Amino acid sequence: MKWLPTAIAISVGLVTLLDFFFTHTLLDPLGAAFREWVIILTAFALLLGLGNLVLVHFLRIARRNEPGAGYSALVLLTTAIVLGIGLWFGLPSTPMAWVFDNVYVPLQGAFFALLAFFLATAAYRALRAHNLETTWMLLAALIVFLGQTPLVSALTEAKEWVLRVPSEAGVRGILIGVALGTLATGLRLLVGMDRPYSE
Amino acid sequence: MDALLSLLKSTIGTDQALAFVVFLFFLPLFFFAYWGIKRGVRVTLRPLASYAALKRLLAQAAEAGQPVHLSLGIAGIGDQFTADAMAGLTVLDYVADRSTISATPPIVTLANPTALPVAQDVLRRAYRRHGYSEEYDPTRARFIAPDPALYTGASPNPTLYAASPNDAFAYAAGTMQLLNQQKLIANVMVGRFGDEFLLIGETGAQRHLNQIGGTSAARVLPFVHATMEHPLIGEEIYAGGAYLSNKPAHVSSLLAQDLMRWFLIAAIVIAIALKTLGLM
Repeated sequence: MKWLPTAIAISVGLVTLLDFFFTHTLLDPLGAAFREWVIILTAFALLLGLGNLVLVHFLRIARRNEPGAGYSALVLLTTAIVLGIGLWFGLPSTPMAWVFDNVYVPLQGAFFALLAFFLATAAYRALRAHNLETTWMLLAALIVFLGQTPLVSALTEAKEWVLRVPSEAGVRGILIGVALGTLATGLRLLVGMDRPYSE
Repeated sequence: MDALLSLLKSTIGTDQALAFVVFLFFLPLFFFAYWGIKRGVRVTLRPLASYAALKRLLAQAAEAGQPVHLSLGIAGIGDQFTADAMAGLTVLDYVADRSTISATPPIVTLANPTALPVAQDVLRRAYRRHGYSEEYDPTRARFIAPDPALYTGASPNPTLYAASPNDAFAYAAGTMQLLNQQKLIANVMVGRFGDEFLLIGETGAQRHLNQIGGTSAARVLPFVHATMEHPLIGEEIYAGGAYLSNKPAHVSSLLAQDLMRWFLIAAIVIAIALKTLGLM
């Protein structure tokens, strides 16, 4: 029966693909049903994820000598509190919105702010001109940086050119490659050559 | 003829028709390449330093007895970036296969729960292949945070969080802590990422870890170049199966991609020439 998961995966994949391409009275409801099933499966996967998270942190606390076990206790505590609020009040609800707005969003904002410092150290390392490639990168970065400032208005046009011509050309090339790579990966899955779901 | 065109228009949209043509064009190229490789045609792949470095690092990990950290990013199974998740899982398949022999299994982190059972299964199968099923530890694959909250539907007010729908900062926080506390030989990041790539990658760089990573998101590529010792740019993340395991299906799809690329370049050049001559 090893062929069964592969056969199911190929059939569902084919129907979903045909539903994407064509409008058909039989395909449309089937495709919509499969997409709904994905949402249900994602919800179950989230439960699995929660179980994994709790297990990993519980084991860290149980082992005692692990560094940062206190943080694991905090993770378990906040998980229990947020889960309790969610189960008791439901979603959407005022208490859950309060948790997200006053805990999640400020923390996310703090991490977003950290990006500036990380970017500075990463840029310092990446833009040291030690070969031709990094010299070009440094030059382009300088033009774009200086082009942003009103004091050096002469470089504004140069900045626009760097962003519009070489940068956009490179991005388009990368996007075409990514699209072909995605197509190839999808095709391998569709014909059963890649089977991450079975031996 | 009009009736046929009307029927076609009612069953397939313009965008879908174009995608269907590309798909139909790609299909024979792929199978032709696969048939050729199965019949013994040898294909020489251009060297990719990042995958060669990964092979070296796994040997070092075995000698040092320290694991590799592999991040699969924010993509899951069944969403629009499934191909990126598959790219990461292909790398995991290789890493798990090599690491289980040396008893230094990788630590895998991810932000999308749909990728978790697959990642655990890849690890479990690697142990089973080598006859160490009892050594398998499901907590080596770790779900860090359901980020971005918007995608998982956990957010009570999606419009409020729409400003950064692709950034997984909670995932970054958990993974940065792991990189800081765990003794690791390398940090490998292959999959879909947003701005969190910089936070995780820079933490690894500051700890002087050997770093290999890449993503398909064009806006994240500057972060990849800035933080990774061995960057994988764009589509290179999909080539893992061909470079690491030399799987015929992966090599043939790589060959088909290259052929398709040349056709597209030719089409673009012809279109430019026709447009310049006023024939289009």
